Amino acid sequence: MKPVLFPLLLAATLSAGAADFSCTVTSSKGEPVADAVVSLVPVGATVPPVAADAQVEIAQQGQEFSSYVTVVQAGTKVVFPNRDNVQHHVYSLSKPKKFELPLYNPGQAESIVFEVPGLVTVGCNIHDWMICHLVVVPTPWFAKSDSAGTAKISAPAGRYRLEVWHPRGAQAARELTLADGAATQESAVLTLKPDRRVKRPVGGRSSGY
Amino acid sequence: MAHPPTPALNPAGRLWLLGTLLALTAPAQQENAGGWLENLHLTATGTVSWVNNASRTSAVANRKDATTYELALSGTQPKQLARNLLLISSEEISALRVQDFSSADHVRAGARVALQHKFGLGPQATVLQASGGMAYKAADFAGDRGWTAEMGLQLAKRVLPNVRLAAIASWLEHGARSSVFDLDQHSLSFEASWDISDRWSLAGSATRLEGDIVANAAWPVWAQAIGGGFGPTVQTYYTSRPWVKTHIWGPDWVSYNVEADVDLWSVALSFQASDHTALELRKGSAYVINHIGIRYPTDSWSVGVNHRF
Repeated sequence: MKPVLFPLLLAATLSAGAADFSCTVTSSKGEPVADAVVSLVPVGATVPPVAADAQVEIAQQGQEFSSYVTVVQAGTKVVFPNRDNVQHHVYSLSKPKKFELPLYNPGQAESIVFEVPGLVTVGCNIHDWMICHLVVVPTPWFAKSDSAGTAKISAPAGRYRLEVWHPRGAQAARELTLADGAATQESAVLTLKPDRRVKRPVGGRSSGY
Repeated sequence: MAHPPTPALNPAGRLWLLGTLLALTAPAQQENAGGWLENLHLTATGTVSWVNNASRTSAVANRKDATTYELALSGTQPKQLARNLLLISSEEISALRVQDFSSADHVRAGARVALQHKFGLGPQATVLQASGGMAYKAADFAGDRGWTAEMGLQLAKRVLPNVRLAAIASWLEHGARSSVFDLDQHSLSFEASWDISDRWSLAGSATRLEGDIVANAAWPVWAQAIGGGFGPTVQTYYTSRPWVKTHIWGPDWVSYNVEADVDLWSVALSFQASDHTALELRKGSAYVINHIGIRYPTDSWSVGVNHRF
C-alpha cells in the first residue's frame, strides 16, 4: 500500500498546534495486536477534506492482496492493480461500497472512490482465500498498529473520538482530548474472535480406486 | 482363459477426446500477460502408503500387503469465461511404485477440464462443477495399459468459512489392452473438510461405487473356483468373467474382473508446514463385495507431502 497523502489543511476549530498520540493495542491475553486501525475523529469540529489526489493501492500479487488491512479517509481513490499472471474477480458485498470487477485480467488496474465511512471487506470470487479489509474513516488522523501493537498519530490539539477496529474485534469508541504540544498515550484491549478466513489450499490429491 | 481386449473407446475416439481437452485448456494458457509457463501453477505430491490386501484378494491366507510410493506433478490454470463461470484446466503426471510387486507399478498422464458455475459471490456461495478428463495409464503389466476417461458433477458449499461440504457424482471408464482390466464404474461421494486452525485441517469422505473392479487370486484358489470347488454359483460367475494369469502378485497368480459394489471412506489430517507445503496423514478403507457375495476388504494408512511451487 502506498502511503496516504494527508491533507495539509487543518480544520479551523482545531488548535494549530500538533500533538503526538500513540495507542497500544493488545489482545485480552496481553499480546500485541498488529493491523488494528486506530482513528481519531474530531468532536464538534470540521474534518478537513481528503486531498484531491489522495490515492491508495491494493494490489493482487501472488494470489493474495498486498495488504490485509488498509485504512483510508472517506473520499480516497483506491486502485486495484492485478499484478498476477492469472485473472481475478475482485468484489465486495459490504454496505458502504458494493462493487464487482469481474473478468479482471493481468495488467488491469481499475480504481474506485470510497465515499462512505465504514468497513469494506474485499475478496476474490475465483480465489476464495483472498480477502482484505478496507476501513474507510471520516478523518485524516489514523494509523495501523505495527507488530508491537503500536499506532502513532500526529494530530492537532483538540477533542476526538478514539476508534479502534480489527478484523477480529473492535473496541467501543471513547472520547479524549489532545493537549497542544503534549504526547498522549492510550491503550486498547481487544477480545479477538477466531480467525475464520478461508485457508489457501496447498495442493490436491488425486482420487480414484 | 483370457477374453480378447474390448476397449471401451476406440483409438479415434480417444484422440478426439484428448484433442478436445487440449483445445479447451488452450484458452486458459493464453493469458494477456505472461506465457504459458508463467501461468502454470504447479503442485507436487509425494505419498507413501501401507496397504493391507493391496492384491485385492478374497482368500485371507493369500492376501498380499504392500508399501506403495506415489509421486505426482500437476499443473492448473483457471480462466474466467463470464461473471460466474470459470474454466479450470489441469494436467497431471503420476508414478506409482509398489514395493516387491513391480508388475503393479504404473505411470499415468492426463488432462482434465472443469467448468464451474458459482451461484453468487464469496467463499460461501454454492458451486456446481462439471468436469471431464482423459488419462493414459502406462502400467508395468502390458494388459493394464490403456486410456481412462472420467466425467464428474460436483455440488459444493462452504457452510462456514472453514467448513466445506461437497457431493460428487462421477463416472470412469478404462479401456485396457486386456479386457480383464477394463473398468466401467460410477460412484457417488460425500466429502467434508474442516480447517481447524491456520495449520491443521481434517477431511473425510464416504463413497459408494458400483462397477467393475480387478481382483487377484493365487492359482490353486482360482483353479478350485473355476473347477467348481466353491460351488456352481462361483464357478458359473467366475467362468463368465474375463481372467488371465498375470503373475503380478506372485508366480501363477491370476487377475480377474468382477462386478462389485464398493464402500469407500477416508479420513485425512493435514498440517500446513508453510504457505507452500503441507503434510497429510490419511486412513482409507474400501469394502468390496462382488455380485456373488465374495468380499475383498482393503485398507491403508498413508503419509504425504504436498508442495505448491
